[in-house]
Amino acid sequence: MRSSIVLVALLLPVWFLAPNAPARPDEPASPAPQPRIEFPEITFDFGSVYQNEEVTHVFTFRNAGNAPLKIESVKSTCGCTAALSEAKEIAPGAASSVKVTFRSGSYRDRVTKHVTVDSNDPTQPRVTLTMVGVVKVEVEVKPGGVYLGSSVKVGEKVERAVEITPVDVKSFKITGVTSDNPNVQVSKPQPLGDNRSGYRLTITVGPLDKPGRVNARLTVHTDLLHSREIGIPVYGKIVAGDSPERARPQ
Amino acid sequence: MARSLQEIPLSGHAHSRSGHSDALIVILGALAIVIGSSALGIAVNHLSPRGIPLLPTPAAGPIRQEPAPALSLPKGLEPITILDARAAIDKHLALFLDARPADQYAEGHIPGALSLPSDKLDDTFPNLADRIEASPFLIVYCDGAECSESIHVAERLIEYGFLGTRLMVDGYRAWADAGNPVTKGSEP
Repeated sequence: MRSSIVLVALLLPVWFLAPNAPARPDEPASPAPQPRIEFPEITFDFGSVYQNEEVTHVFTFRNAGNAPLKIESVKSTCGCTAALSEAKEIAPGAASSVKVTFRSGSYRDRVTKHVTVDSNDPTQPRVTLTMVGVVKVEVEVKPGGVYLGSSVKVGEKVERAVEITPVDVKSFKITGVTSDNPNVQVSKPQPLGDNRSGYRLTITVGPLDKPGRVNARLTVHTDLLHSREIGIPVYGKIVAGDSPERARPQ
Repeated sequence: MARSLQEIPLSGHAHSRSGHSDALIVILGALAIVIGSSALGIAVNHLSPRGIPLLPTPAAGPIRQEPAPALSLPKGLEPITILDARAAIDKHLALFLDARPADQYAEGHIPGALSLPSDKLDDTFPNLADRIEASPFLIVYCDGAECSESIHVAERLIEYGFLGTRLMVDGYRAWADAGNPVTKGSEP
């Protein structure tokens, strides 16, 4: 009896090992070779950058399978570019990489950017790589642009104010402001006052003598390290005196 | 008549004190072997490339990591669901604005949507201003809930005075995944 129990106990592992048994009639004797894409990391946190900067990271991967791995596409979402560094076909055991560049541009706060890598790996045909981080700004421009709508009549002059305040710096200086349109003028920067740090710009459009679109770009020059030039677009439509207005709030 | 485990004779010395002691040792030994061999079997099954799953596993998806959390919306910016956006468009009450880069717009966008890329906003807006002004509501979208391009564009439009601006938070991917119409090319 004792020997019977021991025998049963010893046979139990066979049940667990059964999937490996080659004798099963419904499975081939050996599996077909297949590629397997393997990324040690799929998310990279770049920390924090300022606007208009670039962050590059290289995601490495290897073919952990036993058949050639073919990279079918590498696609990025907004604000990123991605490229495969080497050949599109990777031999078993060999490694390659995907270089991802994120341009912070006018993004701000926390950003998450994805890059998808499609391959012939049958178990994982798509891998999504992620770049995360924070885009900082040194100053805040409110509003970021000026749109007058169709509210300005021929012969009329309008003014709008823009405030530039420090965010990630204690203080800064405006060293100059230029306009690329003679019909759009900008005042000398005035300190905000009332214990507020920053400047106010007064933008004047017109008077214009005929209907038409107004497009201008103001450039604010500063002593900031990462925002030496700040662009402020100004748009508007000058209409004839008897035209219906579509006023936009200031 | 049922008998307890202790009553079942395990050897020819079942009725002796030493017989009970032997039986206990055998049972404990057998249990140890069962536990040990089971652990070994599970371990081999786990390590084997052809091992069978012991617990139910979720269906394999194309993306293996958790989706990124949705961004919080700035004050004053109102969201709109895909269902409500679809209804607004069907009733010609709104205009879609696609805040993604132009190449992604060309690969697929919502029919009728204008391309207003976040990174080219200042250059593109003047060309679209008349059409944007003509619509009572604007629905801005980008790729998905975790992208920020649509927020940037929508905030600027509100600054410009387009107070009927809404943000379709779930974005283009969710719109397309829900079976809504899409089109390709650089034209709306």
